[in-house]
Amino acid sequence: MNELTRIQPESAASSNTSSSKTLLDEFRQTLSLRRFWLAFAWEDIKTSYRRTFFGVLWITITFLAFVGVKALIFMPIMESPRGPNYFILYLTFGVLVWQFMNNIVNSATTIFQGFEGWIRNDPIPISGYPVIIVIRCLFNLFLTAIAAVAVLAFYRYPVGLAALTLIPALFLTIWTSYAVTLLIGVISLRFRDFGQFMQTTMRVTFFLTPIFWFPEALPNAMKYLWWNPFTHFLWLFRTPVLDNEIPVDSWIFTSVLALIVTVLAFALYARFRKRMVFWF
Amino acid sequence: MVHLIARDVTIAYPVIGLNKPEERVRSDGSGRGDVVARQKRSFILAVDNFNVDLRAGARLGIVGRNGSGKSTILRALAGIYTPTAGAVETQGQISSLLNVGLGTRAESTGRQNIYLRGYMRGLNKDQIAEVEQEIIDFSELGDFIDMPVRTYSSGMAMRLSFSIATTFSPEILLLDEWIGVGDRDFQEKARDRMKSLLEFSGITVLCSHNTRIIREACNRVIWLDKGRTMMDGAPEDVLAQYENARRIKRVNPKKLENKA
Repeated sequence: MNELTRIQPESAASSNTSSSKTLLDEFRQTLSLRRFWLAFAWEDIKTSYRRTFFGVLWITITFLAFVGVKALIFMPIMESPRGPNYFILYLTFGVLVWQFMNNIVNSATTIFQGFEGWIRNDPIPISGYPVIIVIRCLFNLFLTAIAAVAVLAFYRYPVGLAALTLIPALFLTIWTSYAVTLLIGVISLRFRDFGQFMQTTMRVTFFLTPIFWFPEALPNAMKYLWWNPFTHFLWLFRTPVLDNEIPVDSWIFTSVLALIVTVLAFALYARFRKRMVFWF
Repeated sequence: MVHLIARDVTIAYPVIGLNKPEERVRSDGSGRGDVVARQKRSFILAVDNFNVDLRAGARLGIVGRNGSGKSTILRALAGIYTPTAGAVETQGQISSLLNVGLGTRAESTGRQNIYLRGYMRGLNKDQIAEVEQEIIDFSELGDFIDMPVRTYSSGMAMRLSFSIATTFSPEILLLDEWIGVGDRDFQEKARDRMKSLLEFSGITVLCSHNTRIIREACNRVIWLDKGRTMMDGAPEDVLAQYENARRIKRVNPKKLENKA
């Protein structure tokens, strides 16, 4: 029983000279630990619906209920340019994308606090933990997207070729989500007010984003609301599906934003990564 | 070759969330183990100029009172804390057992935690499956292995973590107050396992304020006080001095006078 089994990992990831680990080494290590992040995210998903009958289907059910109630209340009020069916789809895709973004930002505000036990026990890169959050949110997105596609099919809504841009849009969004999570996570760990601030902001922004209202109805306000980044990520997905158009402005806006957020996140992380463990 | 070297390691924690620096400065003049205010920000000098050079076969014990910097040193050796000054250099797979409950996912089962920790070591599913049963057997958890870890007693959680850590990559093993936990039978097994670890030319570092355990398990001892190395040498010598110092403190006549 005292015989030890020696097993060597495929990578020398954890054989390190800890004091001099560069940012590049960290990212290499984060990649080599992909199985860990994936398994952890999967455990998160599995355990939050344990002992429920519907399991992860609750994500889909909640989404449909939310969209359904919103549709009932707002359909009579909203002036839809292309009829009531269009409004329901408009709302469905609005909520779909919004829920994902809202999920990312809200999870980001407490991400490192949630992994405190791991960060203080294991010398794996802190920049890897946002991967878990992004995977978890993507899984939710997947389950709600199934419902959204079902709604689309139910109304037999014609979808054009522009919808193919959803694939690169998804990659851009995933990358931005990772950078945003890292950025918000680092700031909220050090300044606990920032997390609260972001959560409040998200609640307000829900109304300032054209999720359930049409921009044409508020031309004056849109001059300012156009700068709301959530609007453009929303249009990146909704416009190609519903209007068969590629929103070029939104592509430029989101790409520039992704670049800025990435630079900010990595600059901040590189500066403080070795001190973050003392911020709990 | 496996090695673990600390050169002039100094660690100062930033103190966050306390707003009046002048009220925090308590000092006996030495500056060690005290909260020191520096340029508006405050730091706790937890470890002051720590040096150690460990090669294959080293079994280092670190003794000292609560707050003497033992756990901070371990975290620095593990690569979790980056030293404020100085450097830690390691070669070899490190396993650290710092606190019971850290590094396990409480909502997941014991078995899932075996996999999580395996993936963290960079192993794949098949490699973990090879040792899965060995870990379960050694931990003596039986059917509990498929229950969430949050339902475990602290002794059970300890057995699981110890079994995982010592099975996966035992080149360098860092233990904080661990051997004393758990029942007597398991303690014996744990000691045996640590002995066989040495046959693979590993390094162990063990922190404890229990001198009996240190005496049994280690071939070198460092005595820390307020973050500073008081003594470094053979277990008999250091432990004798350490216990002597504690005994003197206990019957400190000044304190008796103060009380009277």
